[in-house]
Amino acid sequence: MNSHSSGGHRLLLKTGITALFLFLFQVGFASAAPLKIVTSVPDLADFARRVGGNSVEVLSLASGKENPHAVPLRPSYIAKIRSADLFIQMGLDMEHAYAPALLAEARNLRLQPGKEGFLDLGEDVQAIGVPVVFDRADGDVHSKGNPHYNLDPVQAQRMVRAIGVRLAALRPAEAVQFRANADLYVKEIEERLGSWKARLSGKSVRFISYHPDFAYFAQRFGVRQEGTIEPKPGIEPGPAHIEALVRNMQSRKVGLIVKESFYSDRVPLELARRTGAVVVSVPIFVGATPEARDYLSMMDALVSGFATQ
Amino acid sequence: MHHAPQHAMSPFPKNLSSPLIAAALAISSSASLAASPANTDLEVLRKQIDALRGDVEKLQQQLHQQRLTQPYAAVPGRSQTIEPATARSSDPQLQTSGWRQGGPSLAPKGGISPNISVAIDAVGSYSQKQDNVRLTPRDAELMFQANIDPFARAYLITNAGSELDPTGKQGAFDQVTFGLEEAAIETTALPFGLQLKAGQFFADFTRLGKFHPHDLPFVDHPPVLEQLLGGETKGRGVELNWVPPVPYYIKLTLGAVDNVGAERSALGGFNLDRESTRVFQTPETRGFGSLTYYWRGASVIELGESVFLHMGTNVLHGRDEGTRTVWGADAKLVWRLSGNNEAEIGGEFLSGRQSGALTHPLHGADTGGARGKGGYVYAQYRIGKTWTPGVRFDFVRTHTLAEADSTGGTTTDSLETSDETLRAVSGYLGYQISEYQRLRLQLTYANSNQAISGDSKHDLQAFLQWTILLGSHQHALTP
Repeated sequence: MNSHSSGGHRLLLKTGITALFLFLFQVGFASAAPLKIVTSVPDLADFARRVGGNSVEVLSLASGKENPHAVPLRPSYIAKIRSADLFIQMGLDMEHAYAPALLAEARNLRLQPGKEGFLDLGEDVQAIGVPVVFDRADGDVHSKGNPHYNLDPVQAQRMVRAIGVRLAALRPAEAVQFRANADLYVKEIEERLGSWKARLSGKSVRFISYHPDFAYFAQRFGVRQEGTIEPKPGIEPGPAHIEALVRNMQSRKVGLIVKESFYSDRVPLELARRTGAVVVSVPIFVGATPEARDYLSMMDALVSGFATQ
Repeated sequence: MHHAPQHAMSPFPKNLSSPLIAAALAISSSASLAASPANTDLEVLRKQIDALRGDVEKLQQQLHQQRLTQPYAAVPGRSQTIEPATARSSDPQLQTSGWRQGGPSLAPKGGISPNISVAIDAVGSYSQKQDNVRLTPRDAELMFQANIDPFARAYLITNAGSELDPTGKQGAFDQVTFGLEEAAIETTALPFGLQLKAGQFFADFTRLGKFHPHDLPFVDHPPVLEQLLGGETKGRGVELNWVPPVPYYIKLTLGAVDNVGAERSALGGFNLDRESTRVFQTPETRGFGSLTYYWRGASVIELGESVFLHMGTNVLHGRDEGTRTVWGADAKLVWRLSGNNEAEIGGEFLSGRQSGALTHPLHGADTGGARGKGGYVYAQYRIGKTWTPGVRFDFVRTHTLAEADSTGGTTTDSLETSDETLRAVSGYLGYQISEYQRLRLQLTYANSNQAISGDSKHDLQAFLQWTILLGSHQHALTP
């Protein structure tokens, strides 16, 4: 009876030690493998790479070159989303054209909204342009407000910190490193923000753009938006709107037409010819133009465009 | 790496310490900023306030989320400061009406109330041979969809509409029928990439048969789908699909339904008239053997950065209206070019046969069979966001055979056969007014060895389609 019992204990001990080894092996193995992150836009991919360093593998669904409303649904990304540990999006309906369909088809249960693997950075934004009355007669408006907050470096800092917090939660063993990386990037953005502001201060820039992409940028840097080429978001301009725009640009002395890189330059060039304004093509996402390699260089290019006038 | 599902219905906050951690973070991050050299600068102070505010918002958000996890808890409005707007257009003509500058989002979080959307598809048609104009609301769809819980979603689509029949003489408004188009439950949390659907739905069979008419690239369903399936693949039953965990996108579907399509059978002509045509009898009771089983395997291959090849194969076998077998294959090549331009070439081939007991309104019961095959090929080019010209070629051949039933059929001829070959060519031009509104003009010339428009064996038909979408609208991947 006794020997049987001690044999049972030994067996239990052996099993316990084996289980412990297996557990430790698994933990060690799991922490060695990089966290797989999928982001909706390349700006977020840049943040995640900087915060995660060598501990992450990052893929962006959009390349930055496309109009965010027309990002192709690339089926090869489904397999990548399938095995991802974290999905990060801007939210505010920025990605409605492609992210929900790809996420639904990838069927990764870790990335469902509300789970730790789903990070919507738009949830904490004080959105500009939230429609009081949501009416499509106002064009392709976003019910949650303007989603282009990535062009405000202070928002970028907030996003970097939020990504740091989430990566730390997903992999506590590397939390210190993630937070340190995030702090470093926040500081770099802080330093550049000063020089960006200096380049635009005192210039009293008045501009028009194709689409209302610069609301947050204008608020941060004090430049004045005097209209958009689209009469309403998503609606191509007709002759009457172009005439009104020309009159407005002349009376308000608007010298700058900011064209988001993916739009056609036909109307901007016509407006420039008629008003003498300068057309600059600028990136509004990382990867949109060759010089926009990462967030800092993208913002450099954007600020340079605005400083042209 | 697996995370246990988080219980959205749990009355207890998941992690009481998280606000404390965030608070500690807030203090530490502000402390590190305070230690920076230029801390006397007003600008830096403002940054610090911005940073602190971000952290406070984060805390508020976490509290808000925790409150949301408590069932039936009152959800307080988020109290946030509204920043003064500096980016407002000063020209009233250029201001976007109805917009508020700054302020917290008032949009409700979560998806408790269903998404409601409406699609209206108004079609005017003209048949040259019949000199006949018809204006019909072909489709007026009302769609509700929502997640039921973390494990399933449901959708319901009702439709009021009428058949697209340019040669029909009846008053269009007499023919508007209201009914249930789809009502289905779909799982969202099955493991291994599986998804199960049950109810009434458009079966995932063929490329275009599962599209609602307003979502087609052209005005009408191609004749091969009309003749072999009845246009749409509506069925009542269950469907299981699987996206296997491989580096390529493959979707495999298996379904069991009462019937796929079912509105018409392969015995129908170009414009089927049930009053004078034999149709297959449907069984009065249905065992498992009398169901229709189908399969579809589909994949999308990326040939480079901007070229996508969609491919699919389908097989169907059923015993609803006689014994029916249909198989087919389809492909579509999409080439995305710069400036939102897009070229698309697509096509589908279907072949089917059917046999069984027939009924005729005048002649009574027969037995007989039918077989048919055909296909379509189309090519279109989308120019920017607005114009889409395209062409489509159709070919269908059907052969039907009816034999007098020895047990009492009253058919005058002991053997009736009929062969029909239809060829058609269509040109179409779509104009996208906005993301939610489209006009499309289509001209179709059809020619057959049988009368297809009154006594005529050929006809030129014109269609003008006006389609609108109201409400939420999401793009979907349809392999």
